[in-house]
Amino acid sequence: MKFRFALLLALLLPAFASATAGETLKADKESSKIKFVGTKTDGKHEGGFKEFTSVIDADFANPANGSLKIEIDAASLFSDDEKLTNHLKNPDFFDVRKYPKIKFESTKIVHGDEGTIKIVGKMTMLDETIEVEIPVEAKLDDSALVLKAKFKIDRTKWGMTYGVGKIDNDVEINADLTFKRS
Amino acid sequence: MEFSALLWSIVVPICVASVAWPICRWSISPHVINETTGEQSSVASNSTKTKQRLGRVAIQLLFSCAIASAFIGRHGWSHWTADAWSFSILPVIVVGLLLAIAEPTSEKTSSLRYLLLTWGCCWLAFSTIPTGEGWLDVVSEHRTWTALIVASAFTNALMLDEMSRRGTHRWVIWVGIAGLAAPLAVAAGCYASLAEWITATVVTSIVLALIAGIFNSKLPCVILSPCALIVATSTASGRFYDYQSHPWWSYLLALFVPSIIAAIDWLLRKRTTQLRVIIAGTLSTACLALLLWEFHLRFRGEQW
Repeated sequence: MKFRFALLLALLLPAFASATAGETLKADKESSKIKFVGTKTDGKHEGGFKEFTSVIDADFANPANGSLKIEIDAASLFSDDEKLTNHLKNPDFFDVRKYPKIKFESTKIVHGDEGTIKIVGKMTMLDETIEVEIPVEAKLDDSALVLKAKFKIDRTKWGMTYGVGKIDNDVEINADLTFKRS
Repeated sequence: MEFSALLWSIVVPICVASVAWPICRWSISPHVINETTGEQSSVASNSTKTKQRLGRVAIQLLFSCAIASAFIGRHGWSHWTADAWSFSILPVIVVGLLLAIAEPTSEKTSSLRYLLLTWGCCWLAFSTIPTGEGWLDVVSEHRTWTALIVASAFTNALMLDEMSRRGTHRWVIWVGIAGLAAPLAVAAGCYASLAEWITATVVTSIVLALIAGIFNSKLPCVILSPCALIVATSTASGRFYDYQSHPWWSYLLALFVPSIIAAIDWLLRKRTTQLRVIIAGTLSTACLALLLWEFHLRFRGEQW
């Protein structure tokens, strides 16, 4: 475990070295994506958010001191079905008029297994703030820092209880965030 | 349909509305209602009139309990004022009860009823229109929809009330149900919680319509005015929570189905009941088919 973490650091450090210790990077709109997959007994639907901002305060000397903030414009929700998009925006699910923002703010960044980083943070949705742990694959080079995460959240924890029993509580989140370095 | 929705939108409303059966049996006297015209006999005693008034209030209470429990059962007390449409349940219940109490013993609609209805429609419009930062993009439509809600609720309530006094009390509630089915078609495509609540209202009304038919009773007709208010509030809510655009005619149709049927029935008032029922049924089906086409078939898609 320690060896792997040391290896990850060794790989990342040359890139860190060229950066200043406290670098604030914004996610690139074109290459960043936040998507979700909802499942039910007889199928699944994919969707995501077109508009969001993400800022990372990267402390390359000590990654644990870094922080990540994501703010999603809930009304930019889309799905693979126009009618479903309509329904998802309503109070049965995201209630985008009442709760226009979905926010994530990291509280802790720790190294995880298999060269991944675990970002612990508070996710606020539907006016409920719940702590989540997100396993993240991080890639850093001279041009960009890329964070890839694939994880599941239990939507009912945020009070999104419509269709429980018919629609699965767990929703898969796929986030690809690219932070370009100037 | 999930079990909880089935329970609160169908089973509970049926159970609550079924209590109207003994109430109708208790309050109605065979000689009070003329079998063919539905007119109240002038020989009705004071005790019979009191029984009928109590019966109307009791049935209105049952209707209120059914629609309130359907909402609370699914959402809990805390969500009572969460959305504009849920807050509008309050004017529906209060105005319904006041109209049931103020029902005149004569056949003429009293000015007090007009006053209550006008006040109720304004309160309903005030409650239904969603406000707040999230709704700024539809502010331009607020004035139009406020006027439409008042016009729809007032016109439908008066037209249905007038129709119920033309010897249609055994079947006029079905016209109210057709009116409720219209906003159900609007809401079903975009907002399931609202659609569930309208379903509970429809189910309650069906039970009361059956009881009205079985007992040849005018008492269940007391729910027509609240139904008219629900048609207006739920159609408007269906529009505000819909992110797809639909033509104005579709909303106007959904808002005024009961008035359209009642107006045609007025033209046919001298004809046989059988013909009037057939025409009303055909018109209802045509209106609902048009709305289903616009809201569900023209935009094919899937809900969760």
